[in-house]
Amino acid sequence: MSIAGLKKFFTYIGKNNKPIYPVMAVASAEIVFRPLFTMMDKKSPDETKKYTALREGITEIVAVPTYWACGELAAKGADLFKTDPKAAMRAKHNLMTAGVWGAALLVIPGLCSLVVKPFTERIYKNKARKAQKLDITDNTQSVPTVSKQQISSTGRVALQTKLPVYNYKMADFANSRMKVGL
Amino acid sequence: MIEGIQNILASPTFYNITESTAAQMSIKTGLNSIGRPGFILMDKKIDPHTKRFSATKEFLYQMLSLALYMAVIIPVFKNGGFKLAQKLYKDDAVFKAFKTPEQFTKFHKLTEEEKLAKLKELSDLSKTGDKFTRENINLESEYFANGVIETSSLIGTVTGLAVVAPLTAAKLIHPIMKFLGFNKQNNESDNNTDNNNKNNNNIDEKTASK
Repeated sequence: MSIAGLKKFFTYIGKNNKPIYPVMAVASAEIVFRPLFTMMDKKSPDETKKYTALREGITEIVAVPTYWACGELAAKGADLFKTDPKAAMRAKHNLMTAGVWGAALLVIPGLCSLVVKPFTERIYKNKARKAQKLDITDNTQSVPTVSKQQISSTGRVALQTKLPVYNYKMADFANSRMKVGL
Repeated sequence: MIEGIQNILASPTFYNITESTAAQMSIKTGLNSIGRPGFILMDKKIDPHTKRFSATKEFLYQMLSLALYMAVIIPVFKNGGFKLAQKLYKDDAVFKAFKTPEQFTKFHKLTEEEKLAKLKELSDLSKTGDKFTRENINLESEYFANGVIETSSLIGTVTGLAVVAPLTAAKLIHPIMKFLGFNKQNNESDNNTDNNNKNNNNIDEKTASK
């Protein structure tokens, strides 16, 4: 961008700077940076880091459209000032700022409590369920074991049933085409 | 009653405060430091100890971000951006007339008559003999200088709140939390997985003792 082009850009920003721009810019950058820095923290346990990073990422993803929606919706209130254009301009800016502040104070933390917690809980419940199948923990339910027959001290195993008795004669196999010894 | 509300909403004083990116963001970060810990404390699913730990951590993070933002980031970026523009746009009267962003911001908030008087005063004080009038410092050049200040504040805000603050806060929060008596090992179990880890650790301990 040339110096003249940059001047046009600055003039546009100076004329149309909306309160939603900086908050949306910060939240957009924080979608990447906050989880990244959390994951870089060597002092916290791995699972805590993953959970915190996920929670932070989702919070910022929720924050970007919420700031925009709250700011724009609040600015609609400036329609009350139709008679005085200057007052309407000031009111639009002030209401948008109030909308952003309202979003920061109430709407985003409230939405995050509703959205983030069940979402992350579901992920970790699935993970915990998988872990339960593989690992033995305090929560693992005990399974009744089948009692096995004890081996006697002599080492001999007592037979429970008699061996079957087969009453076949060699003559029975005469025409069976079975050949022995060839 | 309605007129009173309308007067507050269209108040020029409120407008002057909220026009600045730095002021907006400082108030917004201050509100974050109330709202976020507040909602963590209201969560009934987490145990009280973990709630206090998470809420204190979030509060400290927001307060440290705010302090860093107001004390370092904004002055550095705002002044830096304005000085850079003074070098890039040497011939623009608006950057010749005002030496600092604060001087310009004060001028920008004045009424038309006050602006004319101020420009006359600046012309008289000018050592280079430059004449400042409403023709060379018009509304368009005011928007230009304001844009420079707001853009550098915006860059400072993003860099400060999204990059510098988390890095600095991460290093400062752990010692402060320790000083406040929050034992990380006992308190950072703010999720189910941590509880599972705890269980696994308990089992390990039991096995080891056996």
